[in-house]
Amino acid sequence: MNAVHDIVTRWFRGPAVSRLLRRLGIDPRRYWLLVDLFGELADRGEMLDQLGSNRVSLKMATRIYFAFSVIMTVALAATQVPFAAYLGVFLLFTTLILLSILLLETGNSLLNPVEALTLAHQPINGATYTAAKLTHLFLILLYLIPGLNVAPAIGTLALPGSHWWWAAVHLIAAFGIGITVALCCCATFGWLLRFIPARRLKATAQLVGTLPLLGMMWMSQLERLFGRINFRVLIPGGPMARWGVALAVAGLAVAGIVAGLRSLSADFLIRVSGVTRGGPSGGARIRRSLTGSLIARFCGGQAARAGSAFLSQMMLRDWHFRRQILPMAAPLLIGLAGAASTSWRTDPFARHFSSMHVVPHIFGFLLLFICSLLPYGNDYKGGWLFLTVPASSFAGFARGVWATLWLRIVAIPHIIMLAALAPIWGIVDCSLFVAYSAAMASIYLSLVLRIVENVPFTRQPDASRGATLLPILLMGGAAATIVIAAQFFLVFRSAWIVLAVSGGAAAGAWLLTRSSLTAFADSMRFHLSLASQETGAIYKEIG
Amino acid sequence: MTESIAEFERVSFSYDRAEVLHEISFTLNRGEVVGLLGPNGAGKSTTIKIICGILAAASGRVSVCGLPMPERSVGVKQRIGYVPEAAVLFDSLTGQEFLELSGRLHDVEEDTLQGRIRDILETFNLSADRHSRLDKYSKGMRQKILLAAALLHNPDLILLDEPLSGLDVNAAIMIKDLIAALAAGGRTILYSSHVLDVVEKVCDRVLIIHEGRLIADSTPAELKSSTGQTTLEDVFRRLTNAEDVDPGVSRIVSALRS
Repeated sequence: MNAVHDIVTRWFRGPAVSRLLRRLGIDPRRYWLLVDLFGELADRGEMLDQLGSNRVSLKMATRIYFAFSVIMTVALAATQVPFAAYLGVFLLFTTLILLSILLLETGNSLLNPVEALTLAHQPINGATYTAAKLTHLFLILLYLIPGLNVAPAIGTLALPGSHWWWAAVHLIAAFGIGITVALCCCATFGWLLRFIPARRLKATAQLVGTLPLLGMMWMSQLERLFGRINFRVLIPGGPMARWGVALAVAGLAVAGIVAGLRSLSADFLIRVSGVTRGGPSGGARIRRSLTGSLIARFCGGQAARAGSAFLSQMMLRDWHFRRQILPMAAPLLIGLAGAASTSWRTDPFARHFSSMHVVPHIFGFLLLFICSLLPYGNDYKGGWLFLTVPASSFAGFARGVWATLWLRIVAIPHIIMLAALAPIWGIVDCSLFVAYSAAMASIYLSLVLRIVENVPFTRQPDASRGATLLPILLMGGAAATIVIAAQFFLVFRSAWIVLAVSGGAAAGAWLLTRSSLTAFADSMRFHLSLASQETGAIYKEIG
Repeated sequence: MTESIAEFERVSFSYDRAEVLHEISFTLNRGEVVGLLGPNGAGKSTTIKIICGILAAASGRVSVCGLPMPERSVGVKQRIGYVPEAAVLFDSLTGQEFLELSGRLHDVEEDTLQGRIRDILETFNLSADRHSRLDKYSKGMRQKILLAAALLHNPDLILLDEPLSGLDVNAAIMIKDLIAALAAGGRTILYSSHVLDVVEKVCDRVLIIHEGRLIADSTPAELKSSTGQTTLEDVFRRLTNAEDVDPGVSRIVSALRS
């Protein structure tokens, strides 16, 4: 195996590939130096936030997609669909999955330029740097395309009238799609770099990164839209004319990709400095926030205010957090809007199921996503500040973090919900639902706070954390389904039961929150190695 | 006739909408040590970044080593050495690995590179730590690595942005001597610093930038005589309107008391 690897490596680094690279404006020597450098940095844990550079995460993601593709293969092969439809479904699925992953990866590689700042003054041209930076995209393809398509390719043998070469056609088409998607992602960022001002690039890239996800969510609407378009009317003439139009569209697409790639490779390192300085600007006005004052007053003084202000500011400004939370939260927020738009007239006490019953749990999962991302931040090296903080401040800091999340994700949305739905459901039913929902969301918050292991935003981003989140999501999803069934069949049958359960849930949330806050504060001190100093009993901190 | 190594002609630069440099013009000649002074946020680091091709000027003309910028920035980067203001390094690499990376990116032949790394690390007293990861290095050691990386490829123009930051006294003295020796060997050095007495000692000429404008370009002696001051620090205070700092100091002290 090692001998094959050596031969392939030698060929890639040999004169044939070097000639090709030079023709593309890439300096082969520096290209391989940078590829080796990025690989070395990833192996040593310095570039963990890139999927293609983190083999552990990549293998985990491949296994998950393989398992999913096996289920899809069995389902489709059992229905004996024709080969063309079968192939189409898997290629579409592959395209959407790759788009959603590669767009985010490209954005992260290009717009989170820690390495670029160190290398910007070195004699490397934009094409060489960009090519080296994006090489890991092809590694992602090498893992994910087989993960997504090996089982379906084998599954073609079970289709009606199958031929042995269908499997090969399937795999070749999947790799073709993968390479096209990777090039499209690079070209997209080339166009963005060309036309979007540097300070707006990160926000725009985030938006672009969520588009495939939204596409997947609105797939049925898109199908309906395309179904309504009569292409025969739109493109008059015979098959030759349609072929002409198709070729013209393909030519334009190729030209767009080439132009995007050229733009990406031109002077990237000169623009990097501007991109680094981009992002939401800090508050220009000096103002004392009412929320901060309330939190300081009721949750533990200035340390709580510090926790609240730090969390609010970093959630808005930390690139890693913003980049990750948007694709995770978007489906939940769309689900919330969907539940509200279809069921806002249906009283939760009605005899038939209303999707409003899911709402408390949507808040819960949103809090889970936020808390799963909170430990990680781009500016994690700034965490040294917390080493200088008196140990007694961490309890207040933890309460400040909790209070901010509770106010912004639980309290304020529920107050809005109460104001909006009370005229429709009646004040009693609405108040009961909102009280129940807020209590449930508070329980979720008290539970998910336990996964924030260290001071928020002070750990290096790590792509492998997705693997730890998945079991939590699966178990949480199962538990939430049981709770939703119980609340529909047992709780929302009488106002008194809702009142009693809400009261019980609120009390439970209170107790759980107290214990979680203690654990959170201890955990912060432990990860800063302050706890071990305290238990050393060499000295006792006073005040 | 003096040979110019870098030319700035009416160069302006803005971050977002805030203008950082306004129509700055100056020339750096071969073998000169030029001090670049200015208060925080004056535009010193931006000027240096434009010279080394990390930023592109919004308007005006920049040429370095006879090459137009930013069009020929790769060629320019081959011929300059840059010590950035912040010691941003790849922490997981060792000192030796970082220097090898830098030298190889500059196309330094391998035997020559290893020899230079050995000599420079020995001079900087870093030989024993050459195989330690950079995150184990002290601030001064990281600064020495940055200096070493800037010198490895024997550049024509050396851009030093606060090079003495974090260095011990012996190392700082050595750097000052090194600057003089490099200039004597025909290297041009642009030296940005807030340590004015060092600038006064090592620099042939001083550029002072204030609020994005070049307000002085002369030798330290000429600056002192034209402004009637005895030290470069007094000249700086006078030209940047920082003569009267006492009210500011009093305000800080009274704020701390409140």
